[in-house]
Amino acid sequence: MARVTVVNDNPEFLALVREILEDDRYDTITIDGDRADALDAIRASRPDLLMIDLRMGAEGIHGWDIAQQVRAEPAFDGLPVLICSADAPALKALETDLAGMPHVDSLVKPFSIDELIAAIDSLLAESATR
Amino acid sequence: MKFGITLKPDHRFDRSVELAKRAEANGFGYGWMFDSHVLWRDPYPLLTLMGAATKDLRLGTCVTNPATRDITVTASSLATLNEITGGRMDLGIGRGDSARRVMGKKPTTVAYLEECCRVARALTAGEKVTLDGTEIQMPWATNGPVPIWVAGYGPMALAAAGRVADGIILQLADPDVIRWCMGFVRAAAEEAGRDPDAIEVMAAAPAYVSDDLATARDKVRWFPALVSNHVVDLINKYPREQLPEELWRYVQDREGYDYLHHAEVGSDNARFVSDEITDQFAIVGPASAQRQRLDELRAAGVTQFNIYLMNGSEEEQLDLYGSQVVRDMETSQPRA
Repeated sequence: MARVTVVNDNPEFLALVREILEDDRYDTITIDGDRADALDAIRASRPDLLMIDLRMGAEGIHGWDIAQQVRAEPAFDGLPVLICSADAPALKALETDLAGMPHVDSLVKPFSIDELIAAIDSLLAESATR
Repeated sequence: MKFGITLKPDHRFDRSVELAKRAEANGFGYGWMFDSHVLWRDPYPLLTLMGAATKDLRLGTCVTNPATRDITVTASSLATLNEITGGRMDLGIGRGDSARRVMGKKPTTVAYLEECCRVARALTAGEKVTLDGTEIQMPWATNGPVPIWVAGYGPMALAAAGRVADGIILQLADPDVIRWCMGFVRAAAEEAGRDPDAIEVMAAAPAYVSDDLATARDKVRWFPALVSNHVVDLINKYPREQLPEELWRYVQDREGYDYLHHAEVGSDNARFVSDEITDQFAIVGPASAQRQRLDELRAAGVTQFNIYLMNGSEEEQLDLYGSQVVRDMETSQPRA
């Protein structure tokens, strides 16, 4: 069973996503993006896919920055990452950085449950061939 | 249908008092006050003065939150004001938006909001309640409990309101979205063994009486921008299937929000808000158009229309609404 680690600063979002993903039989780990040791928690969760919000916390912690830090480590090289945000203009602005980046996708909120599952499945299938 | 006004205390205290008196004279039943203590003046001294200057007007926060002030402080303030006003206080409460965001803090969770509603009700009724393992009581609180109105838009907050609130505050004047919201409120109330018909329903939104639609829209265009903060919260949390499209679609092109210009006529925050959305969320137009929308709201279950009275012509609009809408709607039956 693929393990999806979801990072977000909203506990209610984390609970809802866990419910959705576990229904579809992913092993789901949720991590509070406000935690000072969020990066360590992501590493410890040994994800097959990281789903992270673009901005988290009062300081606007950048999810893509965290994802890049994780992917920079040999153990997580090429880790599939799904970046989500309700800020469509900000996500669009990031598209240039993401273009050509393997195993990275983005999803504008509000996404449908089907869109979320499809994005996760697609990234996992892609990464299985790496 | 009952009518209320909400004031934004960005003007001197004496004007708030005069507006409260004027609202009462114009047939309004409720005088509400924004609570965002950094952006504007603190509501409690103002509510005290408003209470002393009015006779029947019910008064309250619209809305406070359980994080800026400890809920026991809020309960004590309201119980004291209940003594001063002879039991005319109401508590309007939500998860916290501008009062928290302007300080770089997040809203509270729905679960915490729900728990605080229970605590506030018990304390203002003079009852014992256990908080963090300690039993507390305000035995001097003999005019309560204060009616509790919960503000929310999302399925979780609406369900919490159904479980604990005397009234629900829905910040928009769109009958369809209100019907959608009330589905969650009513279902949760029934599940909790409460009578859903006993829950008051407030539509809180600006209204501007005028034949000049362009001017009227520009006076209230700030409002859908304000609502968009809550909508962004919702779409951050819920999948699309759990939200009505008319609520989330319009924020897709929003570029940001400056809380220093919160609820401000002419603010750049509203640049992305179309005429169509303005008409949908607020009520603009002559008295006949106001009455027609109010009939639609009443048919959707709304029991109080609360005008967000920050439009630059507050005294004039109060008088127009009082003379051309409030008295007529209070006595009329729903139009076919």
